[in-house]
Amino acid sequence: MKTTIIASLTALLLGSGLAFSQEEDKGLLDKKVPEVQIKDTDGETINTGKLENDGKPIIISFWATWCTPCKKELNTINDMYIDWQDETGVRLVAVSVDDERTKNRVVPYVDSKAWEYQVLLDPNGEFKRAMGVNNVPHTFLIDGEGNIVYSHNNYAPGDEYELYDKILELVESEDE
Amino acid sequence: MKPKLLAICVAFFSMYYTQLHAQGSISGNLETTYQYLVSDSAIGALQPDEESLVNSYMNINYRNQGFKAGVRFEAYLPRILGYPDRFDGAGLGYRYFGYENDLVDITVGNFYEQFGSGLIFRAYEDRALGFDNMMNGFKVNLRPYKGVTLKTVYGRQRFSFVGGKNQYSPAIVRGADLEFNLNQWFPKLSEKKFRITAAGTSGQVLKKNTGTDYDYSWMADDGGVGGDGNNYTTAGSVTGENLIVSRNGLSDVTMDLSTFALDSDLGSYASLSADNTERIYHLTSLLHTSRSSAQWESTL
Repeated sequence: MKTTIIASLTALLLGSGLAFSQEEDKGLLDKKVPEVQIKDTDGETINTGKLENDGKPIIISFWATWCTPCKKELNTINDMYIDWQDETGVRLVAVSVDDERTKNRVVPYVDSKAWEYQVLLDPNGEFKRAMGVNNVPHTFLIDGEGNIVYSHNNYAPGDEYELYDKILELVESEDE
Repeated sequence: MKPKLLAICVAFFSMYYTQLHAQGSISGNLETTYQYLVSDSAIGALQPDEESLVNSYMNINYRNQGFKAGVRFEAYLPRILGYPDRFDGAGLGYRYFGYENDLVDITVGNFYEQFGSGLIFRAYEDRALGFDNMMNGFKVNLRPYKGVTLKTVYGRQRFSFVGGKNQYSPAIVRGADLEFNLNQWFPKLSEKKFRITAAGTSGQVLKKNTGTDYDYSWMADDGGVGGDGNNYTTAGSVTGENLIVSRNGLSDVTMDLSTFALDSDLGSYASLSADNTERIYHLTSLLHTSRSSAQWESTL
């Protein structure tokens, strides 16, 4: 009798514990940006888990100099970047997965297009693997707390509007 | 154990477990490529018995603050056209666990790593090309001070996936790489648009001498090339990397793979060392490599 009471009490506790965690967040399915150490174009090591934007959203976009849709996507967003920043305060981090053969093309390309993004280099795919990216382009939207709330693979013209809608949703829900 | 004590322990554990539970996260992905083969009378192609080919990869990763673990299942049933013939079957292809924070990164199991430009050591995956020479062992990376990175690796490299299992090379690869990013110590360099890193590596491939069989597995370094140059708008970049390779710890067979490239526009690069890398493949038994490199890039 005693053991059944204790067993049912502990089951209740465990169950309520799980329910509690589900109310607060999705528990195990809540994804945060993993902490991976990669370099930026100045050679400085950046911890990806510590990327932050004052509680405002961050876009992390994986690209490569040999990937035409990636360049199209980032150039299109670049045209609207100032407006996006004024309206939502969003920041974009462009992670290049170029390996040693093409890594040296990154800075000339970024300079030629005058991108205002923070560019990180991932030549051995460390951050790419940790984020579960199989091919580029792959774009993620991170909320103010570092949770990954949206991800999109491949690019077709118009996808940037879908991304922007998601950013607006985030900003509006944070205002409430 | 007394029932009351047991209840308290379980209650405490379940409350703590909820906290732990809420902080960890599982993520994964699945990638499948499927090809259906058909006959074509115009070129006399017949449909083979298997009719369809499929490559499939499933990753599952777990992260909980600094702790990380994951697996990857691979399936080649059979492998798709164009894939190298060393892939066959379905099973566990990759598994690891480890811990990572700003100071240290330890991984046990399968891992990927690159020393500098990758010419000396690069374990990487290029799935589209069917290349994956992951290590099976452990790696420890330290970042004790800003701009200073120490990487160490130990293990055996995978060279094929047969019968649903990784096949690892008989040779053990071990190495350490220490790199200083001088731009972090002298910020004025960045202002003047110079980027200077100094690095040294010592690595060894250990293999028992079992006759005249060559084992190319440990140095399948397709991607690594030393010495790149590029024209940054109107200026250029100069990269130099000096490698010394010796056999059996003796300097009787030494190769000096100095690569020095000054390059011009359109992103072309000079593969001065591609030839020399071939020669590395033909050395057996104890192999030492070391590198020192300085990279100077300037933009105007």
